[in-house]
Amino acid sequence: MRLLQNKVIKKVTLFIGLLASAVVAPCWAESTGVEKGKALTFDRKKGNCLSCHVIAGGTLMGTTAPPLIQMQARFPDKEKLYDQIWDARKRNPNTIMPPFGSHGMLSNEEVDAVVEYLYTL
Amino acid sequence: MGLVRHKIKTGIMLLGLFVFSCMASADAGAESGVDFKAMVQQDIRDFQAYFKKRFSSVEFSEYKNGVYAIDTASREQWLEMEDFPPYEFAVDEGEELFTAPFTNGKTYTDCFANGGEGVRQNYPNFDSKKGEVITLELAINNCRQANGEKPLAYKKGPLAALSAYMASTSAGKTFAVAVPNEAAFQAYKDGKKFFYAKRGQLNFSCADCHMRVAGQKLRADITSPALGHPTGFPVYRSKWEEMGTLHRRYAGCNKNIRAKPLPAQGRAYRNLEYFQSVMSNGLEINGPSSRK
Amino acid sequence: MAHLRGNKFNMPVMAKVSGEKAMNKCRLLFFMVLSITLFSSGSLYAGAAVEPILEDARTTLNKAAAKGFEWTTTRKLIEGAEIALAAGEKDKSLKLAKAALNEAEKSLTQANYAEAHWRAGIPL
Repeated sequence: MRLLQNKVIKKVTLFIGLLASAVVAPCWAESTGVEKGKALTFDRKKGNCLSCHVIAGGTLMGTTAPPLIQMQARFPDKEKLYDQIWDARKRNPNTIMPPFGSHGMLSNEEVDAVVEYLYTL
Repeated sequence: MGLVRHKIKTGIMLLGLFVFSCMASADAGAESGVDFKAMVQQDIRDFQAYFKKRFSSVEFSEYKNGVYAIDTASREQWLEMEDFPPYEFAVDEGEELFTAPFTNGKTYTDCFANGGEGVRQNYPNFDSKKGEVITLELAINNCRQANGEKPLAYKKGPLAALSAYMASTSAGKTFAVAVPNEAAFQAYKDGKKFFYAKRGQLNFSCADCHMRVAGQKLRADITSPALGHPTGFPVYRSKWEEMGTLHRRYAGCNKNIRAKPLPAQGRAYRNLEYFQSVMSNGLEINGPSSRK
Repeated sequence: MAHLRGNKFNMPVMAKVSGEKAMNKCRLLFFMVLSITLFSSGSLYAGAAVEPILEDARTTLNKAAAKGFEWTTTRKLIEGAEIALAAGEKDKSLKLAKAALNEAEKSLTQANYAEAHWRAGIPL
């Protein structure tokens, strides 16, 4: 009886452990993606998005482009947001927004991270 | 019968095409024969009207003051700075240099109309013999070389001082830069193309920042209107903590957008200055001046 | 040698008939194995691949520069790739060379686009 109990406890613990790691791991990965994206967004030598956009929590922000708010509502399709950052000329050839991906300022992974961060706004 | 009608139809179409192509080529002929003076005048009107529309409360004459024409917040600070002008030393230094004789006994006064007094507004101009735009700074160095002196560096130092002095004697005169002939029009068009073309890793044109988003904040700074850009040069720039010429500013602007600067007083920048000065025709010379 | 060869490939008849042929097969196998190990390791492959990419980047950049459209960032990438290559950091140099080539190509594209479409930038 006791043995059985022990076995059950062990199994439950294992299950909870697995469940926890399954839930926590992607969360953790996502939050580091967001953190990294925020850093890239604010970095003057990388995204330098504050130069033109107002973003919550930023300082010395520009007003040449729309404020970055409600990004999920404005870009329900993540791919479109990615494209806009990678090369905004795809949507408007005469845009003022720099083509961050095409012109080698941000890598694939970096644009992904920025998108993750922008989706939290 | 049907075949004949068809043939007639085709014939008429061909004739129409022929007439049309003649008209088109006649039009192209007019393009190369060009009423370039009218085109330049139209450009000036459109350019100035653009800013009139963007900043309806700003007087045309105010555009000589750069960003301070449209930004009341920084204007106060600037006016205070102008109370004790940081470019005063440069004007004095420039006067000394200007009047000092070359080793051959001649001076700058021998090279310029009216002894070099009050002539800033006539630069840049198009030298039809040389087939190129002559800016004030280039004319100064040409004068030196014609008199056996070494040319001066173009971005700062003695040349900026000389330019400052010559501008100071021209205060209040208005820009009257002409595009006298077709070769001049080519140089003007080259400058215009430079102004509107996107360049650098950031892919910005002059017009992107200084027309489309003029008056907006980039980080903490407000972009200046392109109208009147050349009037106040050379300038004492707080960021430089010294004097600099217009081409020094061009180079800095190009670096900001990660475009490799082109040579100061090279053809590209001279043509750009030419275009910008023509656009600013009618504005007062008020160089030297101070900028942030 | 002939004895060993016969034993190893278990083809005494072939060896007898044509010792040269088997020798060639052996060589072929050896080089195939050698090349697979070398090229699959990546780093040596990178070393071989960097120079042509760099050369392409240089010529393309010079074309863009001649049109007045060089960026401030591209030559630094080329220099970085050269330094890394000289220091034996082949992966790093390949990465930088590729980045330089991308920039050079994009700046040349920009120059050509400007030539054809600069009027589109007139906001009037």
